[in-house]
Amino acid sequence: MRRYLRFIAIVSLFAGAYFVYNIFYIQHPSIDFYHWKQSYSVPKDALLKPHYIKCIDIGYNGRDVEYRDTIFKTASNSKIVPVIYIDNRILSHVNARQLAQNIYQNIEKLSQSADFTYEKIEVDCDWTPSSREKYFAMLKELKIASKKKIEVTIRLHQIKYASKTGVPPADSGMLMYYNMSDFTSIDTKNYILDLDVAKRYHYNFDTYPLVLDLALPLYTQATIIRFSKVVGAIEGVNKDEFIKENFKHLSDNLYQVTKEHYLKGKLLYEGDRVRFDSVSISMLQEVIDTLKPIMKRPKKVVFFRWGNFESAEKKALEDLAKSF
Amino acid sequence: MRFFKNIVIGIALLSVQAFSCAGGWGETYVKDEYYNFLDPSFVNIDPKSPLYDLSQNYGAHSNRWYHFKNDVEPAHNIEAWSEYFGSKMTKEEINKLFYDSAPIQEIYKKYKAKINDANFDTYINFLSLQMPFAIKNEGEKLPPNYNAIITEGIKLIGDTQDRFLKQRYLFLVMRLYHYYGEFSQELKLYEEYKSVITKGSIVDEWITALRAGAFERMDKMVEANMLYAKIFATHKVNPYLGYYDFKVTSDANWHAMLDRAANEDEKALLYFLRAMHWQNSGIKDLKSIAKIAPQSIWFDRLSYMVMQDLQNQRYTIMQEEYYKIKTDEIKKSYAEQIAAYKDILKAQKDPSFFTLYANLYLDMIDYKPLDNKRYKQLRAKASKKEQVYVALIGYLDMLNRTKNLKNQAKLATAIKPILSQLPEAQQQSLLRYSVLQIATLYPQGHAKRDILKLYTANGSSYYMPYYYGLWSLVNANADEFERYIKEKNRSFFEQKAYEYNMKNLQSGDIYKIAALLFMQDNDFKKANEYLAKLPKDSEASPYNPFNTFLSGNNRSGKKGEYTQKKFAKVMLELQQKIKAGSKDPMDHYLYATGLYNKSWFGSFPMSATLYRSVYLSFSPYESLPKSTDLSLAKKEYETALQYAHKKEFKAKIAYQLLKIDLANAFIAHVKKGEWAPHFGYLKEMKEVLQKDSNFNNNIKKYKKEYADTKYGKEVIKSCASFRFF
Repeated sequence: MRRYLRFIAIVSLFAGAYFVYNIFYIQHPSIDFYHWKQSYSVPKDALLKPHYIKCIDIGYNGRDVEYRDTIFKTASNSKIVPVIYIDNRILSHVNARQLAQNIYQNIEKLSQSADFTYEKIEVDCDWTPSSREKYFAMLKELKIASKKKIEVTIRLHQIKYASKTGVPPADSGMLMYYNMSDFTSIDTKNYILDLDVAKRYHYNFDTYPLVLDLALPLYTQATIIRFSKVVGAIEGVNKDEFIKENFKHLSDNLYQVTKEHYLKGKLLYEGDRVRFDSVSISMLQEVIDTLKPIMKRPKKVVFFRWGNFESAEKKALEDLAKSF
Repeated sequence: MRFFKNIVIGIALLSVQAFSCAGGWGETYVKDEYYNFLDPSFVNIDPKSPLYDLSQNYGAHSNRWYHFKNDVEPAHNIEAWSEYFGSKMTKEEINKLFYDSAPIQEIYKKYKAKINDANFDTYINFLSLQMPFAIKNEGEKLPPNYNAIITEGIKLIGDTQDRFLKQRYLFLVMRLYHYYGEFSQELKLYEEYKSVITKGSIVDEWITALRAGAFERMDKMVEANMLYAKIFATHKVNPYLGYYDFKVTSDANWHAMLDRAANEDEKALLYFLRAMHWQNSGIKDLKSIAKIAPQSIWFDRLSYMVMQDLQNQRYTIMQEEYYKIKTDEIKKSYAEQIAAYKDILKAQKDPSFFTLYANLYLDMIDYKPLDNKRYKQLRAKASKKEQVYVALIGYLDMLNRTKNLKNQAKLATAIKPILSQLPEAQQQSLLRYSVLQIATLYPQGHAKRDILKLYTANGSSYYMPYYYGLWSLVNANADEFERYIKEKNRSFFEQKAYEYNMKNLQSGDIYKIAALLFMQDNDFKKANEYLAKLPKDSEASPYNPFNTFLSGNNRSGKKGEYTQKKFAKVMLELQQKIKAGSKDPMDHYLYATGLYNKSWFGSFPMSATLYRSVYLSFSPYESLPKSTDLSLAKKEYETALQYAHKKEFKAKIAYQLLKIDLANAFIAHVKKGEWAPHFGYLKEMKEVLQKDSNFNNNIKKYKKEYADTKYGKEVIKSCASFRFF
């Protein structure tokens, strides 16, 4: 009996120690959000205001490089991470140093007019082997010009094939764990998140030199298929919008349009097919459970994007991050 | 045969690059694609207007803008003012007055006395007064005297007797309201004074556009869209606004617009404009128009746009199949679209000329037999001008049925009268299409099959300038090229192909090309023969191509002049000596050095190639340029090494062999689909070389064998590679 009690006491001691360790010593990832719209109008008293705000969208219209700055209609958090989205195509039309300087000047102007400070700049660009040299050079120049930390978005294939794609000269990376399938393929099961596809890229995490945070999806979209071709997508659709009057449920997440109508401003014709892509908390949990053995615990889990969650989900999202 | 195959690959690759660099404005329909046997006049579209030039690049957008803002609008405005001034002002003077960059008050001083019109004086004053307000940037606040200007403008509308000026004041004030967001005021003013507007005038068009914009900004999209539809269909100076600004985003708005349409033709116009949006479907909306207004011009025009898009898709499939890109998905989609489109056309009870033509045309380019019943209907429907297209369908059918090359003469007889009646661009289309079909009558691997396809590869002269043509010959077979240029008695189509292929070449170029190709193939005898025919020698290389140096890739040392002729002569002499069995190591060494320096890697590459890219890259669709082949140079250096006695000379030869090993290491790397590393990335170069066992072994061997020679010591000291191995 005494031995038994001693055993129980020891086990309890260890359990208690582990509990205390978990609570006080393990740094669980915090959560945050991306804001991705052209106009920032998050209410002042909103729950969980985003810190990762797309501030500049740099695109190419076939002739000129276009810089589109976000319009801040309300005040953001006082300290944010400005995110710069760069269309890969522009890299063959710009000088690296000039691009970096333009980016820095634009952010500085915005930070003054929108009254925010920043210590880090995040750059989102899906670079290719042919644009790599220019992109990496730009990142170096941006660091010199801004004297801030530089973070870059990293896609799964850039970790698996790091020796071919290169590792950007940045201080840290944000692993974008979504959109890993082919948007244009009609055979794609779920463009937002497909773990079967993602797992094919679970290599080289242990040797990847950049410290990574994790970006997870939190949105829905309806992918439109017409004449067996993906022709577009409608974001922010709810499942209950696929009503009987306008749709016929074919299978799983696939519907057929039975009556021409407008859905969230986009025209759907009779005969079109629509695939409802979404992501659930349980799917995200599965992602975390799959990543845990191969990826170092991130400091942050950032959800794409702000505006796609209900306040009730806040705890669920925090628990998700903590489970890493 | 390889000569022609390589050209086809080269030019086709260029074509893809040319098309693939199109940016995205999201416009669906391409007008000027590869084979185009459609004419905008079928559907009453003015071929000069780029409004319907909806190709997927920025150029179409800026062409459209430029055409209307810079050409059409000023021309109409000047015409209107010319009627106002009568003989007082010429059109050139009116153009100067209103469209010069200098302030209008300054220019007006020159013409004031001549015009001598107090009302016009007042107009000019107001025009300059409101000008700073008409150039307003977003976010700028109202200037302090804005209200005073508005008040002045409204007074002038009321007081002015002259109707011409009165409506222009109305436009100017409405525009001021518009720019400053006072849309309700703008529309109210319009209601008050709309009776002064001359229907169909340029001012009427400007004011209608302002009203449409005002409704749009007030979120009254039904009213806005109805006006945009009218603008697109009827306006002369700004119809493009109807294309850009027509937006429907809800069932309520769409149904309200259909209810407001005066008749079925207007409904058809609404469907047409809706279909123009890049995310919508021309075929689906065409089906809707077919139900309500199949005789409407908007049915035919949308059908025309759909045909353009289908042709463009077909061309994309052709291109991607050539590059062995998977096309199952796009072919499936294309087939569904064709089937849906043809169903709509076939369902027409009283088909128009274009409906009949489109149906038959699709059959022809899919190699289907001619539907004689429909063909008779087409002939009966065709106007005099359209008869040539009836003949064209008949010709395409004849072309499809031609299975024997001997019938080329019959085809030539049939095509000539059709060509003479077609516009230039369509003549080229028809010739290229005919040549493409004739090419397929030659068996696979036959030289003629490839040479005819050359002609069909890209008809746009912009993308086929002089140097691109030469670039594509870079890997050509010299003997085949020689046979081609000497051929007599070409058929009509082959002669056309030959003339086109050679048209950009200048006098002597054919000999130059032949000389370079023979230089590349190391046939220095033939190279010399052709070089002798050139009117003048090539520019000289300042570097001696028989020199080898440690630094500067042989581009250093005592400057001399070596023209291509001089170089080819010396190479022939060396070649002949070697063929005669020379055991002189210097002969082999100099010959090898000449071979090395005329290669991609050497100091005189342009002596033996038509084009040299600064990049060394490999594509699975084409071989590396012949100029990268150093195998003969290597063999000759090895022979020189074998015959050489003096160790210093051996060290020199062995170093050249090391350079060839380095070049081969890069080539092996490039063949794996990687870009060749360059001197900006020494780390990358080192990694590539370290992986190459041949280079690794030989560089170590060199150090071991030649470190005790003067030359070897200099090499090991100066050459960077030795620091890493």
